[in-house]
Amino acid sequence: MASQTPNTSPLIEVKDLCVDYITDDGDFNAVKLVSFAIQPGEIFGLAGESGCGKSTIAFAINRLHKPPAFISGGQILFGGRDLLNLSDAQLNTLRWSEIAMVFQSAMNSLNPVLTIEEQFADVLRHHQGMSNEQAKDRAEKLLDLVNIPRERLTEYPHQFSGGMRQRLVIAIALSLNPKLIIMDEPTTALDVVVQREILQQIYQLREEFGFSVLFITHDLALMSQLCDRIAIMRYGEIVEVNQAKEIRNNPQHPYTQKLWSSFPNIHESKHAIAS
Amino acid sequence: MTKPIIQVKNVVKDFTVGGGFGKEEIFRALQGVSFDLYAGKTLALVGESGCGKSTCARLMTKVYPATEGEILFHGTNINDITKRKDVLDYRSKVQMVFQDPFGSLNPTHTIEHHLTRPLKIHKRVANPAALKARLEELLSLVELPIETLAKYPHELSGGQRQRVNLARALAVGAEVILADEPTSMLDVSIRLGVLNLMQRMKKELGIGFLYITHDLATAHYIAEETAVMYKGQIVEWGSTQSILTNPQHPYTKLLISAVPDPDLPFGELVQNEPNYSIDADAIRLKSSVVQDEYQEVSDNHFVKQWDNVA
Repeated sequence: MASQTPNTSPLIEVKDLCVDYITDDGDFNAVKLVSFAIQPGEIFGLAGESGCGKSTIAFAINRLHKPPAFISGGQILFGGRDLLNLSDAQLNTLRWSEIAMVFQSAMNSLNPVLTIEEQFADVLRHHQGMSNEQAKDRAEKLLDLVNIPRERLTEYPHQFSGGMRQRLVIAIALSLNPKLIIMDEPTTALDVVVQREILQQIYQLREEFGFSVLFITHDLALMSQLCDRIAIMRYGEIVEVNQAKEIRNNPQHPYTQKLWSSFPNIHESKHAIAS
Repeated sequence: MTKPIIQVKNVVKDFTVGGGFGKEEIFRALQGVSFDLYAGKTLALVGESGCGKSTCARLMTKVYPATEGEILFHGTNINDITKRKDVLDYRSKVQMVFQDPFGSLNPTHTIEHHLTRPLKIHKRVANPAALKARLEELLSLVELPIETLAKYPHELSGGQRQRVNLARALAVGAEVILADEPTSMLDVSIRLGVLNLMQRMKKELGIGFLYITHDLATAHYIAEETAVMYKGQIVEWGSTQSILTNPQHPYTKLLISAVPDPDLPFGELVQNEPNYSIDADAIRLKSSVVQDEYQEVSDNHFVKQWDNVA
C-alpha cells in the first residue's frame, strides 16, 4: 500500500492550517497549526470529540467553510497547487472532480423531487459534458459498484432506506473518479450492520480505484479497523499521528489512552480465548 | 425471585398506514413481545432502527394502547389505570429519558425550572424550603454542581443535559426509567460517565432500567439481561454474557459481527467475508419470518427458531 512507501509525494498536504471563528469575545481558534499529509491510496483517519475541529478541517480543505469561520493561515497543497490561492472558478472545477465529500447527513442531501438518474446526470453533465444517455450508462455502472439494482435509477430518494441513500451519495461521489474523498462521520446515523456493509464497500472500492480517503469519526474502534494511519485531535490540535496499529496497540499520548479506556469492547473476551 | 415491576406479555401493536385518499394498510410493529423489568436490574432492548424498540417504550408509558396482549404494572393491567390521579401516579413511577439531550429540555427555561415543575405537578414537596433541599439533593445524585440550577440548557454539554433528564426522572420518584438511546448522541468520552451514573442509580436507588439501544457494546456494559429484537419480534433473550459469548440466532451473530472490533482491520475482514452484504440480506430475510417456537440454550438464555420448519 502507498502508505508504506513514504518516499512518494503525498496527494494532499496540509501545512500549519489555522481556522478561526469570529465571535463577540474575539477570535476562537478552532484549528491551530495543524499539519498532515495523505498519500495516494491511503485511508487517513481524523479522530476526536465533537467540537475539536475535525469537521472544520474537512470544510476548510474544500474551502466550504462559511463565515464566521475563516482560514487565518497555512497552506493546503493538492497536486502542487495551494487550494487557498485558487480562484472560485478554479476551485469549482476541482470540487467533486478531484475532491469529493460525503457528510454524516449525506442521505438527506439528495434532492427529494428529482429521480436518482437526474441527480447523477446533473454531476456528469456539469463536469464532463456528457449527454443524458452517456450519463445514464455511467450511472448504471456506478450503481453496480454500490450493489443497488440498476432499475431503481428512476426512483426518488424517499423510496430508498437510509443506508441505500448513503450508498447512492457515495456512488455520486465516485462518479468523477476523484483522487480524494472526504468522509465526515459517513455512517454515524446508520445502524451497525449497515455501517459495516458500507465501510466494507468503501474499502473494496478503494482497493479497486485507488483513491485516498480522509475519514472523520469519533469512533476510535471503527477507525482503527478501517484506516491506514490515524491522527488524534483535541482542542484544535493534533496530539498524535501514527499507523493505525500503533495507535491501537501502543498509544503514546495520554489523551489517546484515555479515549481507548472509554470504550467498552465486546470482542475482548473473544480475543482472550483466541490468544 | 422478586416480582417484576413491569411485565410485558405477548404485546402486539398495529399501526394504520395511509388513509385519507390512499389505501389504508395495517402495519404490525410488534409481533407478540414479552419481557419483564425488575427493580435494580437493567434490560437492554437491542435492535436496528424501525424494529419496534421505541414502540415498546411508548406502549409502556401509555402513549398509545396495545392492540393485543397486556402490560402489567405491579400486577395491574395499565389499561385499567384510567383515573386522572392514578395515571399521574403511574407516569411518575414510569419515566422516560430520550435520545436527544438538546431537544428534551426547553431552551428558554433554567435547569431549576425543569426540575421544579415535575416536583410541583406531582406534589412531591410541601414548602419552598423543602423544594430547595430536594433540588440540591437531586443534583448531587446526578453528580452536577449546585450552580447548574441557574443555568440554561445551552450552557450545558450533552452529557450534563442527559444528567438533568435523569434527575428529572428521579425527582418524581421513578421506579422504572425507560431510557431510549440515552447515550447514542453523546461523545464516547462522556458516554461512559452517563452509563456509570445509570449503573449507580440502579444499584443505590434500586431503579429498574429498560435500556433501548442499537449499540451492543454499551448494552454489554450496563445490562444484566439483553433482548435482541428484529422486525417486531424478540429473536434471542437472556443473560447478556451468555448471548454475547454464545450467540445462537443468525441475526444476533450478525449484530455482534458488525460491532467494530479495533483489533480486526478491514483488510482481513474483506478477505474472510467478501460477501458480507449478501449474507446480511439473507439473514434479514430469514429473521423477518414470525416464529412462535423457541428453545432454551442454557440457563436464562432463550432463542426463537429461525429455520422454516416445513
